[in-house]
Amino acid sequence: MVGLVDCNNFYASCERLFKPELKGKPIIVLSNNDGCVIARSNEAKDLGISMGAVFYMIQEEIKNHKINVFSSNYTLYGDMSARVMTNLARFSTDVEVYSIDECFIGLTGISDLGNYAHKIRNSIIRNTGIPVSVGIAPTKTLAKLANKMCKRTGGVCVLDTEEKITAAVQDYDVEDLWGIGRAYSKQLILMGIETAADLRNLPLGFVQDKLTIQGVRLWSELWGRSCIPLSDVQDRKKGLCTSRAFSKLTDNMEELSEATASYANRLSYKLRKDESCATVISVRLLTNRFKTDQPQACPAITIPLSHAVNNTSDIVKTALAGLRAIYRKGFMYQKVEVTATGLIPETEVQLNMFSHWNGPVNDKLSKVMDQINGHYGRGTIRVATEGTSQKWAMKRNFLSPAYTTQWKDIIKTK
Amino acid sequence: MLRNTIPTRDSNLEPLTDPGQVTGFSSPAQDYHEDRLHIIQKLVKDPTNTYYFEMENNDMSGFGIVKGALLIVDKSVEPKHGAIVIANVEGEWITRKLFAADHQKYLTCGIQDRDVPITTDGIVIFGAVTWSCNPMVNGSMIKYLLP
Repeated sequence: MVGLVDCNNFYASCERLFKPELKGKPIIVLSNNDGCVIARSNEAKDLGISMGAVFYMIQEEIKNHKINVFSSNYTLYGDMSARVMTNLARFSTDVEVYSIDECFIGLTGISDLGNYAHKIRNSIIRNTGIPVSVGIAPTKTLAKLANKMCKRTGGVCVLDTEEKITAAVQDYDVEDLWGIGRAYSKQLILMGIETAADLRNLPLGFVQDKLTIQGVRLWSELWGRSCIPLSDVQDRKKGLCTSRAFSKLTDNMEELSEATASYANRLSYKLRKDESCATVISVRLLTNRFKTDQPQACPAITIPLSHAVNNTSDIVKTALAGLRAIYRKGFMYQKVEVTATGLIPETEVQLNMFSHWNGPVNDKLSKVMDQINGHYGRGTIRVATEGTSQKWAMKRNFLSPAYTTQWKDIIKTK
Repeated sequence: MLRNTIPTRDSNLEPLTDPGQVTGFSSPAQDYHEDRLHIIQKLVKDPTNTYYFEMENNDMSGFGIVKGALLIVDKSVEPKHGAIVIANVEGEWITRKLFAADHQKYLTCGIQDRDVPITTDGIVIFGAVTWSCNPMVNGSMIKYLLP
């Protein structure tokens, strides 16, 4: 048996934990740059605020219903997520953290599953203050389905008998099944398959004939035969990307260079943490495609490196050279993207005998930078090209404090 | 958690990975080695569920918590009768002693007139304070004699 533990309205719950007076009040969390709504509390959902709603277009509703607005505070959400997942991992040796707010948990050999599920749920709520739902079933797909049913059953739902599963799939919309995209669900509905039960009741021959391999897996999972095992090892990443929209559109080369240098620096740090080296660096500039009255461009360049590296100096230098090569005047850019691909493990780097190689020195420098930043806080020491004013930096006007990761931000009590 | 938290080594303050490792005569102390005590092992039993707060005034000085005290809260500890707790009363964070009398729970700072009965919805108990660390000296006054 496998469980899926899902944090309810996770971002809103994190904000509410440190502002308990918002209990029962609507909360929305905005995307980077305060662009649109990416998370809502139940109260905000009931008010009809939709996912992805553009922030400046819902000002009226926010004022009328006194909706509490937060910029996304990923530092806080990341820490709270780690706390939830760590607590969860105390209940089974077999866990797969699936996303920032969801985790699969292997429950083979547990006898009283209902009781155990309540124990998991109560313990996480007590220890972290984050409300969670626990869905348990024979397969991951059914566990996902059970989890969605928790709203009606009070936080825990165990599908451990054939009768319960049959009842659960009966009215369950096919598009809400795990791994079914919008296009695929449309295709299924056209074939007259509207509920999970419809899909399940198809004969195996038909499924094998008419559906993709993904469809066959789904079908088997709905019958309680596990096809998607828990995976605890994450595949080595194939590529890493750092990109963020600017707080305002810009065509200023100086600002673009600062942003590129800053993202390249961050990227190299991510590579080092991943113990990978990049063999290819790509840089891409993007204009705002929603401003149709403005000229559009999205110039990009891909630069193969003569040596696989992950040090700050080489990656920033390459990214800036890329930016200079693609920059064109007359466009207002919204975003720059720096991507590292062709990643190889740090320990398997092959040197190139035909080009100059300053790796050992640059690597050492990056290591010292990481140490200093690790000790005194991120951004203590930076590359000069990142600039000091950072006018392009992310807009986060409604950011909550880093309650759990910065000593200066811990809550003062009376 | 039963196991002690192992503090990470700061390689600048502790340049040697293992100061007990000797190249000449093997150290007679080697077989008797035990890890040095660290305050974190006493104060933080479960880092995953530990949160920190700071006392802003002297309201709780009667219970030995003075202004500027660092309050350590372990949410996995159940706040019971007699515990010092962090609570939020209609948006305001307070530290109080939790006590029960006549089937009613109260938050107190030792002055009866200011006792808050826990009745309304606006009161949330965040967790129990497991340790309080009172400052004995202003941080900027401490000078470490390092090379």
